[in-house]
Amino acid sequence: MNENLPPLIHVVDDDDDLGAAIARLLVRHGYWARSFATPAAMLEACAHEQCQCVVTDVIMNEMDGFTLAEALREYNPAAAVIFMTAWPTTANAVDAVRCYGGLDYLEKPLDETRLLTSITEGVAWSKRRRAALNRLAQLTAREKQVLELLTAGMSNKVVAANLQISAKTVEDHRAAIMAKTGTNHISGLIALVRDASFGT
Amino acid sequence: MLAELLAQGVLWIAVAGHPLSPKAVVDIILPPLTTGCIIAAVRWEERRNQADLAIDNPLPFGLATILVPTGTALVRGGWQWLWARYDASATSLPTSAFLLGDLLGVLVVAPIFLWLTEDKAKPRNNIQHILWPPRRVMRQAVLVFMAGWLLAILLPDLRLMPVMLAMTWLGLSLGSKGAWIAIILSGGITLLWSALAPDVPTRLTLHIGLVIAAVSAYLAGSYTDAQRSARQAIARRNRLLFQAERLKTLRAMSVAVIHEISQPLSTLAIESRHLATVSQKDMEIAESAAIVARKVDTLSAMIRRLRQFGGRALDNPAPVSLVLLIGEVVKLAAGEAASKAGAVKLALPDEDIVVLGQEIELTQAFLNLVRNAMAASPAGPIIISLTRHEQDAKVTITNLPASAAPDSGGFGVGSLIARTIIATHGGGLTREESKDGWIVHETRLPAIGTPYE
Repeated sequence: MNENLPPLIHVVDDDDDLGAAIARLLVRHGYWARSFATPAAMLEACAHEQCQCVVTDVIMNEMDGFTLAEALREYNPAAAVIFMTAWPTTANAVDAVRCYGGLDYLEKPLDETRLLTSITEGVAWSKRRRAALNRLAQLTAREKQVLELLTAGMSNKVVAANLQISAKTVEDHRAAIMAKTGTNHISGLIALVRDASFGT
Repeated sequence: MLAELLAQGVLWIAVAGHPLSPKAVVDIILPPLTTGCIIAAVRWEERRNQADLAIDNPLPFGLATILVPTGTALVRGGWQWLWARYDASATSLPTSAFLLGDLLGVLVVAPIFLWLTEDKAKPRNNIQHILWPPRRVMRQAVLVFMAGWLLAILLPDLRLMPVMLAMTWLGLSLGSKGAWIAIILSGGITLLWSALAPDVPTRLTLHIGLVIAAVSAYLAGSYTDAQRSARQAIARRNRLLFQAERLKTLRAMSVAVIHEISQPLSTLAIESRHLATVSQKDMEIAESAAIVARKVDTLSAMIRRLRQFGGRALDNPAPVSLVLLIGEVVKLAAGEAASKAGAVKLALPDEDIVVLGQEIELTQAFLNLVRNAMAASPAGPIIISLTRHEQDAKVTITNLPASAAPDSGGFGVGSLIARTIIATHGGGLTREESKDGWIVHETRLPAIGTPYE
């Protein structure tokens, strides 16, 4: 993915006009934005282009915004999701953030300033997550196991006992993890794992 | 009780000229004391057991009416019997006469005192303020009353039985006021008749008959009063419930309208602000665009405020029986268009299907769909079916639109509202048209187990 290109934002709303208006607004603010009238069309586009952020309606005909967010993780785990709805409920707002990894839950009529702020945060979050995932992708399965236990606060000896390997082998894995991820301390590894998981 | 004590004392000593003795004191004190105790007991029971006795006045008053003279007569009779064992020469008045006199006195006089002591400032919602009955009922009442007395006079073997039946009928049809008037009139006639009677047993028989008729009439009147009062209360509650249901429906509709307005308003807000920004060179366009943007902002703020009123104050969802709900919807829709009622075919399952949601909103959604189908197919059949499909409840509304269906005058908002309500209940609404022209609206809602399983 070319870092020089503006961030790509996908807008999904079954109201074509609103989707297009938001996309045009984002383009005016320096983003590369595309609008889709159906979740299926957006998921199809995701197969060949990686967006940084998705702004989606919650209530739609074929598939609701929450199902779309779940499906999107299969294609693009680093995309930030912002929900918007004309029928806000507290339960949905909580679910949007806690269960579906949403960055924000916006009420319609949209507050333009809040939308733009959320998208800025979403793009930054997406970049961090994508970078973290890329760095972690270089690790072997055993190194990922060691990393998981180390970032859980275990010492080399405890990790070795857990995985039934020698402490020397754990030390070797730890050195390899540091080298591959470009970190030089356990705190850096913890930050990396946090960036790769949901949440900001 | 003090008044009774004073009256008995004056009658006993001053009028009757009896000497004041210990027995005379007990004779004077005992009846009012018993009366006071029984009334206190009835009032205590009334306060203690509000649920059973609190139907305005009739039941506590009726109890006191029967128990006071009976209790007083029994206590007095018992006292006379005890004293007779101590002093065989003592004379005593018949207890039955005492009982009859007290009963008649209470029945005739008590309603006046009740009326005088009632709180006139109380709202006019009970039996005391029922309008005078129609002239037709009054004519019937006079005829029945006269027929009762005519039969009693012409057929003396019947005693006052016809009078009792006539007075009971008056109580049932006119309430306690009618009963009271009948008691007073009958009391007057009986007193005149008994004055002409040859002996004491005949007089006593007449008075016993009058008491029985009076008690029966007053109980019938009290029953009618309580029934009227209960009917008024039920009618008032029904009106309140109807009003509440209307308000809930209006709230659901306003929420749906807010939802529909929010969509275009978002677009308008974004585009009008953009237009105001890009048209800075042309002041005329810029000013117009700025005005539009400001108005859209005002509207957006208003929508958010309205949503706080209606949208978020919805009740907690509750289990709703779709079998009952769909049946009710069909009845409502058929009631609105009686000529089309026969065209609706309803297929409901034997086993109930329950969903979690807002009953009023769901009723509104299905009512909109059925109304639309009726408008599109004024003569053609409309088939409504409810089935369970895996974990979903499926409601299908199928109709064959007429080739030249009359214009319903609607804007299609009903379908939009239905779609929105179904969506907020976690379901979906689809519309399909078959090759032979049938329109099928299929609604799916997540079903839950019945709450009583």
